[in-house]
Amino acid sequence: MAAGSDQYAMQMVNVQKFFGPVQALKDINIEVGRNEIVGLIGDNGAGKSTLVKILTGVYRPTSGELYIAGRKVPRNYSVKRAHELGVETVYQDRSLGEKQALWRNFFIGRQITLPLGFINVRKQKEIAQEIMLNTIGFRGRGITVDSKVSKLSGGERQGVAIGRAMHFEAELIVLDEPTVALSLKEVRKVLDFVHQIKAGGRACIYISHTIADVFEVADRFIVMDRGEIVASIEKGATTLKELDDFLLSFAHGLRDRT
Amino acid sequence: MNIPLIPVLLASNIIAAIVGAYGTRVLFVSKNRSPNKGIIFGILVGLVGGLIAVFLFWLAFTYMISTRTRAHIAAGIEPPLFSEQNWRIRGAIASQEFGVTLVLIAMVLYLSYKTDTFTTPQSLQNIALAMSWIAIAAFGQTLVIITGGIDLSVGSVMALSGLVAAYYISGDKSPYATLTEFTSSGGNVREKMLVPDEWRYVLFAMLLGCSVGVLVGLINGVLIAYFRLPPFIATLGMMSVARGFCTGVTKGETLRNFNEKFMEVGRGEYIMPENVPILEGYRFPYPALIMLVICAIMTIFLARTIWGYRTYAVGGNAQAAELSGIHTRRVLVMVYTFSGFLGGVGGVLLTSRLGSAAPDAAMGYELQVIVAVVIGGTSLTGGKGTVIGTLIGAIVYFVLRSGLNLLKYDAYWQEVAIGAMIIMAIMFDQIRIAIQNRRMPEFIRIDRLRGLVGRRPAAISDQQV
Repeated sequence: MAAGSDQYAMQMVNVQKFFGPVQALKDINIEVGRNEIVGLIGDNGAGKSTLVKILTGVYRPTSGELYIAGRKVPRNYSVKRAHELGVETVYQDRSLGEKQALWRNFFIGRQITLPLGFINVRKQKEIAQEIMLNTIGFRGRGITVDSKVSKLSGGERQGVAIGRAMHFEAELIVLDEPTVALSLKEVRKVLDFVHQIKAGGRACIYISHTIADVFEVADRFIVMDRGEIVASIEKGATTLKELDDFLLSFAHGLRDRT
Repeated sequence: MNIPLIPVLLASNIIAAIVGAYGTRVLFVSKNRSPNKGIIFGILVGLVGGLIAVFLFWLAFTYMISTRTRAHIAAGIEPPLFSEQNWRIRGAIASQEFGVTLVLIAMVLYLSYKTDTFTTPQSLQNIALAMSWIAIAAFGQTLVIITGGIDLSVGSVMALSGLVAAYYISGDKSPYATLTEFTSSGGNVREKMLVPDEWRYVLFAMLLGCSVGVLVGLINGVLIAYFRLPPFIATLGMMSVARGFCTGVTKGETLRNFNEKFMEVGRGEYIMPENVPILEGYRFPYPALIMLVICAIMTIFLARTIWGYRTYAVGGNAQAAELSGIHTRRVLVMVYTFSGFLGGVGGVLLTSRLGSAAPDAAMGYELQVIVAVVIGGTSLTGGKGTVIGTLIGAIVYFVLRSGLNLLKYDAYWQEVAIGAMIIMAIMFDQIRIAIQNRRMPEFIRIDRLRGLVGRRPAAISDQQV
């Protein structure tokens, strides 16, 4: 497996992250295929969020290399650069500004501008409409691009965020605990959106506590524990019960890291 | 057929406001009490009238939609009332700007009816002038409050920037002052120290005053964004520091003797030409015109530029903004700098108008500024607000003040009415939020998206929604 191979949407090589003296990530080697849904699971404090934030440009790794679509990320990697390289992130219920109209939220952080920083409102609305109808097949009652985000249910909000990610031609969509604090029905919607990511030929990293959710959508599971990757399991090689037991064994300290 | 909703809406509210104001008058006359004492009741009745009108309209609107839409759905026709325009109107009714405008209409109607003096050019001009610097500072404050912060230092900034401009332009202190001849009111020719009456001195003095505002705002912004001080504390500190500079530098002395051109900016007026109907004879003070220009610029800035949108994004959800690649700290610094700058503009205009710069000028103005912003519908929790709303808020505040005076309402009790109005404004905001958080009613599910259901992938069509 050569570093920077084109067959991966994302690849991390020996990535380490320190927060002062605390080591949050130890020698992370991870790769995600071009049309692969990877479930990233692990207990609180396993380093999932840190890993995601390095991937999306919020944190800089202390050492190690990160490749997006076979290309090494530049030194000035940031959230904006990540967007340009095609990494989109959906955070748990945090991606949308609640008091804003829907169409504005599609373009948070990357407005379509005319010269002098003026926003091209009409174009943005058109694109937002297009995303809602075609990309995510939105059918919320009485929801238009002018609706305030606070009127959307939790699942719909994640749907919008995912639709946004798909629209911007993301190579890799990162879902960070998208189903936290959602009702079962809403979780269902989010999982359907994830299925659409797969159908759309894109790669996805799905991070969740709820193993049942991850199990349904993911092709492969990566288990993290205290800053290390402890297992990478193909979906066909395990069952939900086995995976659950495997995780619990870590939680209870029954198993040492291999 | 589409019903012309806006005229219906406006008419119903104007009627409600007139009825409210007139009812008060009748009530007080019939009870043999002085109608002038009914001012608070008048405002209350006007407000309640406006609210009732909105409620009635809401009921009627809902009813129309339900019956008409059902009929159309049954007939298989796209319901006409469901158009983007109509839902926008609904959004507009539920906005605080709209509610406050109703209150304003009620107040203006009441005052024009009760007093002979309110609608005179002189009185309106006084209101426009008195509110101009407060409103200009409030535009900056609006940005700050949209980000969820607060700028308490704005009053002190006004005083300090006025003072700095005065140091440059006042005959008492300026290094450019020369002994100038002038004709006193008695007709005698006398001499005193004045800065030469040239625009370049005036403009530089004003620029200097504004840049002091920018400096204080910048310090506020850096303290809040990079040193993570709570906005309340940082700006409270700067309020004291800026005021301390005012008193410390002047040693309590008031600067006077500005040149004519400097005072012209604050005191000058644009007189409407005689051939303009209705408005003829009205005078527009320059500060009020400057206020309108700034209002227009800030409105475009907030609604149509990326920086404006970033301001909303930071206030709505700072974490999401940061994760989306917005440099929230830079936005905060920008916003407080803006507030400082506009405070500076207001301070310079105030000084120019008063013709003197006292170290205790603009005392307590920060509260008036914040009141104007809050009445105008900007949410103190951030993420929401408009500059137009702030302008309306300032007008309401100053019309109330002036109205209380015109009605010879006891000056000692005026604060009660003003406080009551602020509380009512916030209450209205809460009611509005409750209305707005409701989804579109179930019975109008047919929407523009409906025709597209068929295009959706079959696999998920039954699971979603």
